[in-house]
Amino acid sequence: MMPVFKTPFNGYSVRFSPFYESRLAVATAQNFGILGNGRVHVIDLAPTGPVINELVAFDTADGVYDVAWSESHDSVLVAAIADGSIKVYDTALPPQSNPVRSLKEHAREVHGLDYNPTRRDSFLSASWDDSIKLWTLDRPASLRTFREHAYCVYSVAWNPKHADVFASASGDCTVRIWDVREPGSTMIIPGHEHEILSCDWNKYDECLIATASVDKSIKIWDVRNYRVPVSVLNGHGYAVRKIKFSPHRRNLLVSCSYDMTVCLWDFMVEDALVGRYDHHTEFAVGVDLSVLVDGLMASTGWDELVYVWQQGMDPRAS
Amino acid sequence: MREELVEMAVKFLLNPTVGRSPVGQRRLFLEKKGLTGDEIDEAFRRVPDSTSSVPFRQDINSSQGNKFKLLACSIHEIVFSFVQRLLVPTMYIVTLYPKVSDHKHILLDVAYQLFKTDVQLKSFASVHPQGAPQFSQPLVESMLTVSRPSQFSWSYAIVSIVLLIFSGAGTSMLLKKLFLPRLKSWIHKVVLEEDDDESRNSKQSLYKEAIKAAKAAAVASVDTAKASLQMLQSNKEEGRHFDVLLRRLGAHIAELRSMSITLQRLESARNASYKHTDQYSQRTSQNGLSNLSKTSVVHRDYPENFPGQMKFRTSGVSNFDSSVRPLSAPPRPSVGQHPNSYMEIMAKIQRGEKPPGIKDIDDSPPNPNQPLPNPQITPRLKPWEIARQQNSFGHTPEKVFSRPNGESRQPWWRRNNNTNGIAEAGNGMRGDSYGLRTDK
Repeated sequence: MMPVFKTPFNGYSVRFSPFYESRLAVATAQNFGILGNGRVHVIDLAPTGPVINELVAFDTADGVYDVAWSESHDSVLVAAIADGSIKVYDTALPPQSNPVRSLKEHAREVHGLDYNPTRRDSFLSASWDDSIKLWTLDRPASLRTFREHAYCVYSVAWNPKHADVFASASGDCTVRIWDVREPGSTMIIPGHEHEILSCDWNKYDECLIATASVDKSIKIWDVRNYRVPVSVLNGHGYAVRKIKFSPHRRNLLVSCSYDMTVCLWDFMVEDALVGRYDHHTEFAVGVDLSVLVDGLMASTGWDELVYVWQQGMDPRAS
Repeated sequence: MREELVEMAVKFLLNPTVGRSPVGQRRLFLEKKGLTGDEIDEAFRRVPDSTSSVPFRQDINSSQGNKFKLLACSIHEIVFSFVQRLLVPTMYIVTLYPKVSDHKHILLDVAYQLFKTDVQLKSFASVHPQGAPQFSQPLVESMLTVSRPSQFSWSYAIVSIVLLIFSGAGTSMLLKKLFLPRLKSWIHKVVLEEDDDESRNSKQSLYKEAIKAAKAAAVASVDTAKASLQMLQSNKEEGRHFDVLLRRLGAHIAELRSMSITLQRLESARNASYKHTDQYSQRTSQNGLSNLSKTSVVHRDYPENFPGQMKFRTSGVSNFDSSVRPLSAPPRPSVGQHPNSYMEIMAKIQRGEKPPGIKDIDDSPPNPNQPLPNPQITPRLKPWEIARQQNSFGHTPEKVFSRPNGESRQPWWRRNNNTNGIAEAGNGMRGDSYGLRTDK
C-alpha cells in the first residue's frame, strides 16, 4: 500500500532528504501558483504503515516553486519563492524561528534550486529573470550570477562528478553548461525547438545530460558531441515538466508531464518506456528518486497530492 | 672829396665777392652810389689789386701752397674732360635703349649736374671772354695758373672728389644696366624661341591627353556611381527581406506561444472536469480502482473538438458537484475550499478579483543572524561515488544502507521486487527486471 499526502495548495516540487530515508520536503503554491500564498511541508514516512505524517510546515507569503535539502546540514532546506526570494529553513527550530534566512536578489520568480551533491557547500537558483545565482548558506549575498540566457531559466542541475560544472535549462530553448570557475558558459546546446523545462545529469556517466521540453520529448545528449542526441524519448502526451536520472541505475530516468503521468525510461533500450504511472488527476509537476533507497520515488501535482511508492508497485495500491 | 664815401668804396672793393666781378661793373656800381670819378679813383688806388680782376692764368708767381690747388684743379679738369667726352655718346646710346629709360633720367640729371658744375668752374677759371669749351687749352694753361682764394680750391677738391665718385658709380651702373641686360635679353630671346616651338607642340598633345583622361575619368565615375547605386538597391532589398522574415518569425513565435498557453489552459480545464467525474466514480464504486488501469501502458484518446466537449462536461458536472460535496470530508481549515479550476482562477484575476483564501503572511526571518545548526549526521557518499570507488578498487558490491539495529523487517518503503540498492556500473538493466509490466 502506498501512502498519499494531501496538501492544501497545489503541489510544485517534492524532494527526498539525503540524510533521512523517510523524509521528504514538498513545495506548494496556492491557486496553481498564479497568485496567493505558499507552503513548505516536511513529511515523514511512518515505518509501520503506509502513512505519511507531516513533521512541520512553513507558510510563505508567495507560492513556493521548488525546494532543496542541504547536503551539509541534515535539518536545513532551501525554498524557491515566487516573489524572487530564497528562504532557508531549519527543521530543528520551531516554526516561529523560521525562516533563518531570506535571500532576496532575483528580480523575478525563483523557479529551480539544486544543491551541490559533491561539494555539499553551495547551491544554485534558477529564476525567471534569466539568471542563475550561486549561493552558500553562510553568506547573505550570492557568490556569482550567471546571466546569459535570453529567457526564463527553469531548472539547474549540478554535475555529479565535476563539482564545479552545472547545466541550466531555459525558455530560450537552449541548455547551457557552465563551470563556476569560468566567467561564461562553456557550452550551449540548442536542444529543442521549444522551451526546455528540465535537465539532469546521468549519475554514472558525467557526460550524459537529459533535457525535457514543451515539445513532449526527452532527449539524452553527450556533451562531447552535442550535435545529435544520443537518444530521443517520446511518449508523453504533453509537455514534460521534470526529469530525474536514477541515483542507483545507470540508464534509468523518471519523468513527469502535463499529461498527468509519471514515466520511467531506459534510454539504452529500443523500447525506452519501461513504466508509466497515471495516478495524478492534474498536471504532474514534481518527481524525485530517493538517493538512499533504491527504487523509492515520489511525485506531486496540481491535484494537491503527494505520492510515495516503490518502483514496480502501484502508487495507488491500497 | 668825401672821405667817408671813399672809405666805404674801399671796403666795398675789398670784398672778395666784389673782387670777382669785372672792374667796369665795380665802377658802375660806385657811380650809382653817387661817387665822383676822383673818389672812385682814390678808392681804387687805396685797394691794392682792385684795378683789374686778376685772370687765373696770368698768375705766374704761384707760391708753394698753391701747387696743391693747382693739382686739384688739373685733376678736376682731366676728369671733367673725360667724363664730358664719354657722357655725350653714352647719353645717346641710353636714349636708344628703352630698357634703360628709367635710369636715363638719373643719368641725364647726373650729366646735367656735371655740365653745370663744369660751367660754373669754367666761369671761375676764366673771366676771359675766351672762356669757351676749349678742352685742350685748359689742360695746358692750367699749369700756369695764378693763385686763387683758398676757399675755391678746397671746395673745388671736395666737389671734384664727389664728382669722381659719381662718375665711377655712373659708369658702373651704366655697364650693369646696359650691357648685362642686353646679353640676358638676347639669350632669353633665343631660348624662348626654342621653347615656344616645343611648348606649342607639347601643349597641343597635352591638351588632347588631358581631354581623353577627363573623359575616361568621367566614364569611370559614372560606372562607380551606377555600381554603388545597384549595391544600395540590393542592400535595401535584402533589408526588406530580412524585415519580412523577422516579422514572420515573430508572428510564428507569438502564435506558438499562444497555442501552448491555450493548450495548457484547455488541458487543465478538461482535467478539472475529468477530476470531478473521477472522484465521483471513486466515491460511488466500491472497488473503483480495479476499473482503472494503472501500470499498463495507457493511451488516452483526447477528442479533437476539445472546447465543445469541455464545456459540455463542466455544465454536466456542476450537478455532480452539488451532489458530491456532501460526500466529501468536512472541510478542515488547513484544506481550504475545493480548488477551482485553473481557468476560473485566471479569469478571476484578469477580471481584477482576488481569489479567495489569500492571507497576509510575514515570512521574513525573525532573526536574520540566526546561526545555522551543527550538522547532526555526517554526509554519506552517493551511490555513484561508491560505485566509482568500487570500480577503481575492484571490490565486490556491498550494501551501503545498513538496516537499523534491532529491526529485522524492513520498512514498507524498502520492500521491493528489485535487486539491491547498488547499481552495477556499466550494465544497462533490461526491461523485464523492472517487473513493472505485470499486474500486481
